[in-house]
Amino acid sequence: MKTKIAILLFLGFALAGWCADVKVVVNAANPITSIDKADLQKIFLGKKNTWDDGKKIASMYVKADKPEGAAFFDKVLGIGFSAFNAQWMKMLYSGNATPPQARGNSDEVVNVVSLLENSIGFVAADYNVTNPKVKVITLK
Amino acid sequence: MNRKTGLLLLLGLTASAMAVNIDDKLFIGGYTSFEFAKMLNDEGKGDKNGSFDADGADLVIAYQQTDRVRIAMDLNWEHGAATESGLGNVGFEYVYPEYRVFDWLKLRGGKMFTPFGIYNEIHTAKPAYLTIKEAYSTGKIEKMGSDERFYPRWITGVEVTGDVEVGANNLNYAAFVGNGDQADAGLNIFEEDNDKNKAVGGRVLFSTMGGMVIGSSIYFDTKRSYEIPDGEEDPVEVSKENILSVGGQATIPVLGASIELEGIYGQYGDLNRFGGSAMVSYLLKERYTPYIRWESHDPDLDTEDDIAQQVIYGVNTRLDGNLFLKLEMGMVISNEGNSRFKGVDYTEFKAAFVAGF
Repeated sequence: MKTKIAILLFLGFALAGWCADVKVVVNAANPITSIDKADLQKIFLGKKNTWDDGKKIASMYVKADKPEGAAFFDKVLGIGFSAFNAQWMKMLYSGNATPPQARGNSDEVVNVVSLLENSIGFVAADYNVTNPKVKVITLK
Repeated sequence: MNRKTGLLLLLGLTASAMAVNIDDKLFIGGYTSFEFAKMLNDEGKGDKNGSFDADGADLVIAYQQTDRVRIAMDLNWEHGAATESGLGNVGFEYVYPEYRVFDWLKLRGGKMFTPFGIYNEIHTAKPAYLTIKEAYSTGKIEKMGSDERFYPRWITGVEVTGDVEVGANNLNYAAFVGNGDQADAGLNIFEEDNDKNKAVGGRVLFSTMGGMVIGSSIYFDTKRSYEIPDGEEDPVEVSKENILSVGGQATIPVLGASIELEGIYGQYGDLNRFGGSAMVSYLLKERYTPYIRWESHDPDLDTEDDIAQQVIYGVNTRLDGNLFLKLEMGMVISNEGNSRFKGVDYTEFKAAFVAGF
């Protein structure tokens, strides 16, 4: 019993660790309210390209030289920016897919997500999302 | 400022790390490579004089016309491409529209890179891999003593491809049918096939979220050549060879390092051949990646004394953004029966400036 509690506590802290670094945002018109880590990884690594309604997903990331960008690549995607970059160069140059769009900071991500109904991005955990056309969804 | 103008300004004036987003539909990316090579021995098949090479530049364009329709193309220049002097070459590496039925079912038609192994689809995209050249033992095998490649660079035909979720992991597949390769110099293989046989093949890649990739590829075709006898009008078949190539590949992350393995067994008529490579690399400080790759190619498994091997070691340094400096040494070791190297071993230094956007 104690072991199970310890494992649950460990998983809870680990989950809280990577959830606390960034917040995931989508356009307010998007019906989704949560996304799990595996789906988020698939979207940003080009393995999942469409929402359930068939619309193409437009994903965008904050560059890795910003804290929220570094946290996203290291803790949420778990592969670091270099590996992400290398993987996308292969897919882009072979013609197989087009990469997520790079943005300079959380402000830019929110601005673009507010304009594109099919978009998804992330912002810093302490960023206050006030744009009514953007909503924060739960990262499971 | 209306909504559309605002969107275009916001999207158009911000360049991503890898591609320029003109709007949310059009992506323009590309890359270029400038190289230097100098053989360190007096004899051998390396560059005796030490040469600079404007190796290539590509413009990669993708247009997402609708949620389901995407057009992809790659305009390529190689080796200076001064066509008025007949130097270098210019062409489209691939141009095809893609229709997405589902993420797991996409249809393509046009001129495409043959989806085979690790390097073929990115062989000119030098920012996309660590070394200066692709693995010759599996790709450019004419540079290691074989007459015919395991598979042609391009396929003109139709392809189905897609990604299938396997739990948290991914299965990517591609299957094609196309004109294949042919011996006739008189026909444009991208326009007209010289026989009824079509080339068929495909590739399956299983990748885990942890970065491990395991895959297999296959290519099959019948290559015919014809001649028109003197005084005759109709061509006569003079040779017919079946081509079958089967490959395996793996990329395995281990303790921060990456291990890359590839092997291809091929039949060309009665000829059996094999090519393989193994590479280990390690990323340091998100910038420096030392690597070492061993390659081996046996042009005829039934003939002894014709194997060629190559050991390449070097460092790939990401200077800034996607600008890379690659410095490497390559040692070629061969048996006397190898038709290209003839047992003359040599070492060659290579350097490259490579940029991608």
